[in-house]
Amino acid sequence: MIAGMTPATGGEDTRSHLHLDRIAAHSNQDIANMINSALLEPMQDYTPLSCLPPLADDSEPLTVSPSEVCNSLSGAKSEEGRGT
Amino acid sequence: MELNPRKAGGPDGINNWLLRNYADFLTSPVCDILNASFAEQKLPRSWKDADVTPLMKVKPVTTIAKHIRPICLTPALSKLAEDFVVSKYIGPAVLESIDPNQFGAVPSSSTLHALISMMHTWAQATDGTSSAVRVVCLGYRKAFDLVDHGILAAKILGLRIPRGIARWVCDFLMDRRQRVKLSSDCFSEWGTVPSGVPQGTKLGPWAFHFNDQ
Repeated sequence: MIAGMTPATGGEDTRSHLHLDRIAAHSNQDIANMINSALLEPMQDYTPLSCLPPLADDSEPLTVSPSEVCNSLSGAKSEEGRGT
Repeated sequence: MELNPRKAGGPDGINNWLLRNYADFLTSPVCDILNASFAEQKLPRSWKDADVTPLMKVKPVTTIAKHIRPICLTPALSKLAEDFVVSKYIGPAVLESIDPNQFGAVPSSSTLHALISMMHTWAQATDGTSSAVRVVCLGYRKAFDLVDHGILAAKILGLRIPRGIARWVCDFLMDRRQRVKLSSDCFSEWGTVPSGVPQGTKLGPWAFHFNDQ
């Protein structure tokens, strides 16, 4: 980095591609809020889940072993294979 | 599952490299946390928060909702838990009943297979028959974002999986929040997410599959 310069941020890069009305008048924080509101706006017509089904009395709840967790954490492929 | 150590951490600030490099020390507490979550059939609150990286579909962006795809960065521990749930229960249950013409987001399959299948069908219809084929392509607007949670929960509860797992997946959908990450030090305020399956999670594509059935 050159002394005295502020490193370029991802925010500036995103901002440069936004061709919206009066964009120059807004701070990066305003733009982040604007994007989040715009992304969430179409979802507001939907009713969120308000309650969960009753707690299930499963005889065998899912449990994972330390070796499975260790394999996942350390990046080794588990024998179960990947989900996606 | 493979944790990519170069990938940024989720909103909880726990990075993949930390989990990977200190796996020996963290295995036991992480194992306890995952098993507690499965036993309680719900996720810790912090696992439901997502940082959204705005991915531009076209440049320049003139309509945010249309031209930006929200990719969620969620906590690594949530992804670990989701991966176990998918590999042990959700994946097998969905693959048992999935339409054979579904190719995207299916293991060992890709959209290339969809193209080959279409070409095969068209060739069969036109080969030596002097027929022509008309193709109509349809796309869903905001297909991932506008999934109704009530309908999805009913389908999850109808899957052939233990009821406790179904409840865990329903809880995965509830009370989710997201904020936009514009840069490493610029975030929006949190907003609640009342619908959709989060893109970028392990469960997301699978939840989309069983909504599609």
